[in-house]
Amino acid sequence: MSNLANRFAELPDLLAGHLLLSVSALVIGIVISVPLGIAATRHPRLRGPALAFAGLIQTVPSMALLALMVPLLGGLIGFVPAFIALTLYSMLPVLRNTVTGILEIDPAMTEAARGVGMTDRQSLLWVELPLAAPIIIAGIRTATVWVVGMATLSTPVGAPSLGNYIFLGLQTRNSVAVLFGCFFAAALAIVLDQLIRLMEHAARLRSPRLAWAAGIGLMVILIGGLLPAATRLLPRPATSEASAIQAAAREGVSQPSLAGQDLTVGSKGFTEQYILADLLSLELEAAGATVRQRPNMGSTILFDALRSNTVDVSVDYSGTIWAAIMKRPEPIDRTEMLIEVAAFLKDEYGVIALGRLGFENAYALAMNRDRAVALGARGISDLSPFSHRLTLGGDPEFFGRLEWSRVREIYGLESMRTRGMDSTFMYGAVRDHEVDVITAYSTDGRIAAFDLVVLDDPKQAFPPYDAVLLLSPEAARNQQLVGTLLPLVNSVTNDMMRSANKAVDIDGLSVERAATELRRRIGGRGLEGR
Amino acid sequence: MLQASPRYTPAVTLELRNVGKSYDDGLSFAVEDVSFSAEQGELVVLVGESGCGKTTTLKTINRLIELTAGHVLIDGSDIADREAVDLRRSIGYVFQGIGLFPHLSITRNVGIIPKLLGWEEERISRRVSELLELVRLDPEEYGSRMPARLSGGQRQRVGFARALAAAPSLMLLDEPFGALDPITRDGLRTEFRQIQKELDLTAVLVTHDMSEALLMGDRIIVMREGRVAGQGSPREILRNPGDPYVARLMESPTRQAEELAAMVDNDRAQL
Repeated sequence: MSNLANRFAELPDLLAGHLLLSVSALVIGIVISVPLGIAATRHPRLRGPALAFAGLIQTVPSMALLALMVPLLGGLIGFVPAFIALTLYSMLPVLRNTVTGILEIDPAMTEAARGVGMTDRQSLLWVELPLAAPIIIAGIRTATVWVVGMATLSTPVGAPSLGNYIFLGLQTRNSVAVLFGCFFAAALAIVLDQLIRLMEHAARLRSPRLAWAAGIGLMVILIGGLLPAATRLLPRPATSEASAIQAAAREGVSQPSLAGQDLTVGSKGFTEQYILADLLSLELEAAGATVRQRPNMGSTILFDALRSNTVDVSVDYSGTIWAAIMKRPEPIDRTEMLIEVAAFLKDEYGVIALGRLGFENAYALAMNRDRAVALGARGISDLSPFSHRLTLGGDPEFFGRLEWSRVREIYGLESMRTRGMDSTFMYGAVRDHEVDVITAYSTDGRIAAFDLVVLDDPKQAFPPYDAVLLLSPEAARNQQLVGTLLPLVNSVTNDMMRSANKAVDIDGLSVERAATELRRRIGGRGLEGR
Repeated sequence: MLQASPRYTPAVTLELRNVGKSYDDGLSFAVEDVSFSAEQGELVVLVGESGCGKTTTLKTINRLIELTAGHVLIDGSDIADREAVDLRRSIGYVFQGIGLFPHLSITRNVGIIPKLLGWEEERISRRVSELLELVRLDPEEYGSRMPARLSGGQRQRVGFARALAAAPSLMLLDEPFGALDPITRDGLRTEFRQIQKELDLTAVLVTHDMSEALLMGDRIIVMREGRVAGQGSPREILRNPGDPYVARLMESPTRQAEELAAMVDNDRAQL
């Protein structure tokens, strides 16, 4: 039940984010598409290109369109890329229906409009648009349903939405959260769609009463939904506590305090990252900061956000930076890699690696025990003779990385088939023999729980993956922040991380509980409790 | 019936001089060398088979179609020198298929040209009531209705009212009775003729119905393949068709009239 209570607690913010994103994208989409559609009916030469462009946008998968916006905007994450992608996406139905609606008007009507002496503009406003209105509104309703649905996909680019529930739920096998997110997204789409329908009805029947009802309904939804976001935008009154602390700091009392600061913690989309993001949030909040989380981001999106100061703190892995950002194919010694990564990040981007968290979450090839025994496989090299018969399941991100081509080459796995799937599902898939091998994360609790065998990597084809605490260039200059996070360095062992992951993935504990528990264990290991 | 009407601008003369319309830069002409004139208060009927260019000719008069050759003169001045929009607002136009705006009430349909001319609301509503009474529709009952809730004949009355709204001195009518049943058609013809005479309106009417042309027109222009095949008063045309095509067109109304006359004579004889 606490699961549901937690979901409800997040609802106002996520609903507000979702509503703000979809409604502003729709409004701007309509403001662009209707005039563009009208222009296209006046200038046939514009019609083809405009419709083709909108159609082309529609063929780009929505998830890809959203993700593409981030690099196109120079690494900007959050509201803006999601807003632009959704606006583009909303355009086709409105544009197409505006063009069709106007072109399909009986030519006798437009002739009558000219015949009574209307100018082109009057004919448009008094005759053509009113007659095309039902079709244009139908387009707007289609766009509304699409955009509200697609807004759930804006979570990975860092815009909070009801999709946060869905992504978190899928990753942590929390079906309550998934259903919760789906339910509210669907409800929002239906309510908005019906309100627009009501308005159209009111316009057709010329009923001011209906129009008022629809208008008030829309206002209630918008104001009610956006209120939490609006109150957040109001300036926070300076607390006397904050000034007292500042005074204390001036007197030379060294007490790390973040009172009055707004900080953003970013994370990628899997359980370990959620737990670590919560752990970081708990630490920062304990020091008085107001923390906002940007969960579920893709690796490179998260890094872009960090270097552009959109995100203040995140946890990444040395091998990921080595391969994905530094593009270095050959792994090196673990400690050397840490030093090189830290130097590279600082020199190239001003991003500071505060230190290792203490544990390593490496990629490892894992198999179902029966299958490993049957093939006599103990190390990765043992797979080579069978590789043409084997299927490897794993994160699509992994198959695009340099280390995969390296592993494939070193161990002769070129003929192995790959099957991309969400990392949550691969453990179950290998247990149930749907795939033969997976690219497991070494800290995942499901390796032990499902009795999987981790294959040896004697040639050290996989680079080391030390979890590293990263600070954005701006955050790195924040001494209080550095002071608050420094105690976390070298505080989480492999074992602690694995059991925290297991608590969520296997035992069904909430991420919040697992993070609190992890923080308690860190404190027990000597980190001063606050 | 007309006490409350405002003063109409004095009726005008209309003249078409060698009007031509080509859609392919002069290679072929949809309408060629059409000339006729209408005196003040006269009803001129353009008649001919479909595709003969009669509607095209009509539309050049209010510049719904721009002519490629010749001149149209209203009271002696060339319409090419006027703004098309202003010209159209000064000419009443009754559309084929009536052309009422389905999303506007009867009141708003009739008041559309006054509104375009920037009249005050009160003046428009007075004018609309007056016109609806003129075409024998109760403003109280019909004013707020939408066109879809009127019969064909009622809609055509509204079409006339709309064309008359801004007190035009010239009326153009494109097959105005085409879509009506015979009884309604007959009644409306008589009524329209009455209104047209009393308001001293100059009017051009297009029809494919020779009987209608003969019964209504002060002057008839017979068109064939874009050209004028014959013209004159109904009497002149009946007596002396001249062109064999015109003579053939006259055959059917003449025979019908003779048959009807014979039937009437028979009845009288039996009495």
